[in-house]
Amino acid sequence: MAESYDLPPGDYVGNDGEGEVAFSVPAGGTIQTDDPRVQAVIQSTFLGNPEPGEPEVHDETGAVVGEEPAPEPEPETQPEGEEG
Amino acid sequence: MATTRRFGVFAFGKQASLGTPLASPTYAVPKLSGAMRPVKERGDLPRLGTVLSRLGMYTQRARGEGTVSIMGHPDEIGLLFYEAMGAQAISGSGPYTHTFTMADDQPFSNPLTVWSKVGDSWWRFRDTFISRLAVMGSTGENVTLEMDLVSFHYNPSAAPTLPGGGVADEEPRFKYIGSTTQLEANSAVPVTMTNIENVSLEIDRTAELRYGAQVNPSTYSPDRLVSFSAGMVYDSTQQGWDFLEQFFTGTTGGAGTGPDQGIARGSFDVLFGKHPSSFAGSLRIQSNGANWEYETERPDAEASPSLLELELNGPMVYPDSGSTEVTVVLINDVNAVY
Repeated sequence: MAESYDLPPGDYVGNDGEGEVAFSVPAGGTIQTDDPRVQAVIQSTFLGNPEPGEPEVHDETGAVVGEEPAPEPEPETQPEGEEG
Repeated sequence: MATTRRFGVFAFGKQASLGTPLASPTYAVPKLSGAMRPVKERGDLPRLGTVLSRLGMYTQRARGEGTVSIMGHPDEIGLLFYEAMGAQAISGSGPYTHTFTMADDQPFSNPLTVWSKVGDSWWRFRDTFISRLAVMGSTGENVTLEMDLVSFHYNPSAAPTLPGGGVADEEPRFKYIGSTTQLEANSAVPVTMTNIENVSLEIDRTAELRYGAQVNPSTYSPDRLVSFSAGMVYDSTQQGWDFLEQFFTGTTGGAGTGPDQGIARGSFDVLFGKHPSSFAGSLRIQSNGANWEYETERPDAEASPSLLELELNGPMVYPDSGSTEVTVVLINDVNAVY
């Protein structure tokens, strides 16, 4: 029976006892599948994960560009600060 | 005659199926330490034939195993995370975001072929599984990966054809310099701390090789143990003291009134530093909620002039509302799933 799942768009690879299971989630973020192996892998592996594949861009300090600053005063780094 | 030094290369790639080795490695990196080695196990069995209680030495299984350490090379380590954790996703249009999550099953049907060089001697190890993978960072140092590997098959090998770039031994690399470390006790939302001296994430599968017609070697059941540790120095802003109070009293802010029987849980989110800083990639390890069942102990006063340090360590529990104990996000130039 076809099931529908909402996941971040991208290519996914999971594993069940039979081997690798690959599938893609289209741009809309919804995948509909009647493949029981894909259903099993989505349910056991990917559902509930925090935004897999969420594209993030970090600045030089590692902070996420374009995000609201965290409530903590200073996002930050090891005191050394130097690049290796 | 020339003597041979202890050079070492670790080359590897993902097999398309169990039992069929790759012709050549997809990735090759220098080893920091360790090697794969062939192992022949012998068993002492009583041989009750013509001589009383004479023991016989019989060869049992022959296999490969080893512990290898490498540096955090951005493109190469993704396959190792996938083989250890079992699930991956890719998104983006360059750089590409690879997200690795925990699954019950490792890629049993798609293990690694490993070539291990010591001195000028290459050996190939087919059907290799990652039994344990640890990623570690300590202040001022490079991020390193250490892994325990087991193999079904080994043989001496000619030098393999290395991937286009040869042995990857140049930057960018991940370092524990300029890292962003977020941790919090009793919360699913970690907050930034600037006094974390070291971190270590360990994924332990305790992979065992199974033999025989009854048990398909591709379907053995390894463990799914994930643990995280961190070390911090005490400072005047009292960063991290809540971990200690939460563990022993079940509350923070100096409000504890006595021993607590509950389990202390915390969360973490570590974005490692890198060099050069202009590199668009990154490596991040994060918990998916308050899944970290850490433990700790109150440090002693000592006469030596060392810093006062607090160690935290413990397993990640399988989350009630999610499906992964830990998420590894690797952003690099690899434009396909591993």
